[in-house]
Amino acid sequence: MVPEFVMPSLGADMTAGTLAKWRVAVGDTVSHGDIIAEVETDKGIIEVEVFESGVVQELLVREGEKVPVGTPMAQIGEPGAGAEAGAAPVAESVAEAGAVAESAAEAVVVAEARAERVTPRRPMHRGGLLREGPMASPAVRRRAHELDVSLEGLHGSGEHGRITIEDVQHAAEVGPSPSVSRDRVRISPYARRIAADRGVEIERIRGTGPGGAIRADDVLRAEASRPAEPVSAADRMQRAIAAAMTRANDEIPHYYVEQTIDMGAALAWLRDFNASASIEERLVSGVLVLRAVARALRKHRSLNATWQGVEAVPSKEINVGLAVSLRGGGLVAPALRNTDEGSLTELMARMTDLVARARSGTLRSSEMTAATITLTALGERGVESVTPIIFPPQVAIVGCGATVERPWVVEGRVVVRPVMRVTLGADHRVSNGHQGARFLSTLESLLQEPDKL
Amino acid sequence: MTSEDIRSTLLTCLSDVAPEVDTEALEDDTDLRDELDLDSMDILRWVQGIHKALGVEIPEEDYGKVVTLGDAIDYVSARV
Repeated sequence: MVPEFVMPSLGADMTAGTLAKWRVAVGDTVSHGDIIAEVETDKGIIEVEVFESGVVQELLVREGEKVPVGTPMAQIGEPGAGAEAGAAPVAESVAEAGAVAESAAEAVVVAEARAERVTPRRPMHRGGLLREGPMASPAVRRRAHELDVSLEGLHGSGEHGRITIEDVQHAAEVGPSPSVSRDRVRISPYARRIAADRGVEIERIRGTGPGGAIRADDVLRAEASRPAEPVSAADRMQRAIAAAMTRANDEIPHYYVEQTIDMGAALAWLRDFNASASIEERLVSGVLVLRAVARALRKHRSLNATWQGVEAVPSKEINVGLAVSLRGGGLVAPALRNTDEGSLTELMARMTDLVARARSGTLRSSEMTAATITLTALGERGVESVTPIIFPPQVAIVGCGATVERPWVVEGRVVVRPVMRVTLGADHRVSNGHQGARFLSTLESLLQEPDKL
Repeated sequence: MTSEDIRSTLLTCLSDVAPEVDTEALEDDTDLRDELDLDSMDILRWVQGIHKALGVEIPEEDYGKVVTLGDAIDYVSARV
């Protein structure tokens, strides 16, 4: 049987995805890990990797088409098998296949309800400093160009009015949108009245009368084919958060342990390092915490696992998921693979790249599903304590607050020290408070010797 | 290099870090962290961009001197 490449689930909240672009063609040879396509989700454009090696024999889904998770998108044959002659007619109705994968990967949206209750001191106001005009990703703009669709005036159904591939596709199918003024549309008085009564925008109706004039039948047809009011991506994302939180609260017996850690040694080391390093090699304190969490997990593997229905399965790799807030709203938690390995400078570069791609909507599918624990840090906004909710199927999450100066007792004397409160939320089915406390103790020790991170 | 040239370069560097920000709407007293939601990594990437574009290095201890766009223009103008 020829292996099929299917629409992947990039989170439990994802039921379907839109193929933004094929990155391969029929006849191309692909290897495990190659990026084969770009898929648009609520979280932006995700570069999807293939986990088969072989030759692309057939592409089953067209660019711009939205299909359910699990829908076959391409067939990949054995190397040397070659593509079928004349293959690659794109299937017309794959979208109706409805083959939704049963084992959907878990939510990518971090369910951190308690942390989210904290309101930023000065929330960014949209429409002020964020760019106005059509908001669309490069892939959307590319598709619009290909289909000769103008983004100006196009209604975006995505988050905050962001124009999606689907919007462009729809615009291409229904024809040019309201660039023609109402007065210039040819429409009979009766048809105009029906359109007004039924709330159908005449600018979006394709007339079939003489000279393209709109007739009553055209209005009725447009009304019948009018899609249901789209749910915005922001609403979908919030629903996904709600679903993930509810599930986490229902299914995971959380316990929490917390420790206040003296960050004096870590910050002093960081200051010295950055003073002598080139500007390109500077680090931020977050990377020290990230590395320390990963190294602590080496000693506490029960926290680095995923819950697989009836038991926890320890993960071989330590892939810390980093909760990244998207400016203007939204949250993703992509994974930094093998977070415990490599130099701090390398980790900093990888973290910077990951965060930038998370915010620009160009994450890879494996990054959306590979996390084995999540780190959420809200300290930069002044929050001192974070009590996060575990992100299924992971079994632990670490929350960090701000590093603040506090009175601290050192060798019997009260001194001022920069301290950070770290909270571990863990799944009681998998570990106990004692193990959690030992993890935090290890974390604390590691942060006292930053030169060894 | 004029102050306007520096402003333009700083905004270009900022766009590279936060492309979703409408830099044309920025006022000189805009607090970059609070109002644009920039974090420490964004600030680092921004100062790296400034160094690359103008050769001006902003040491970590001077981050507090470039809180607003106007601060940054003044800081860079004095060193470029």
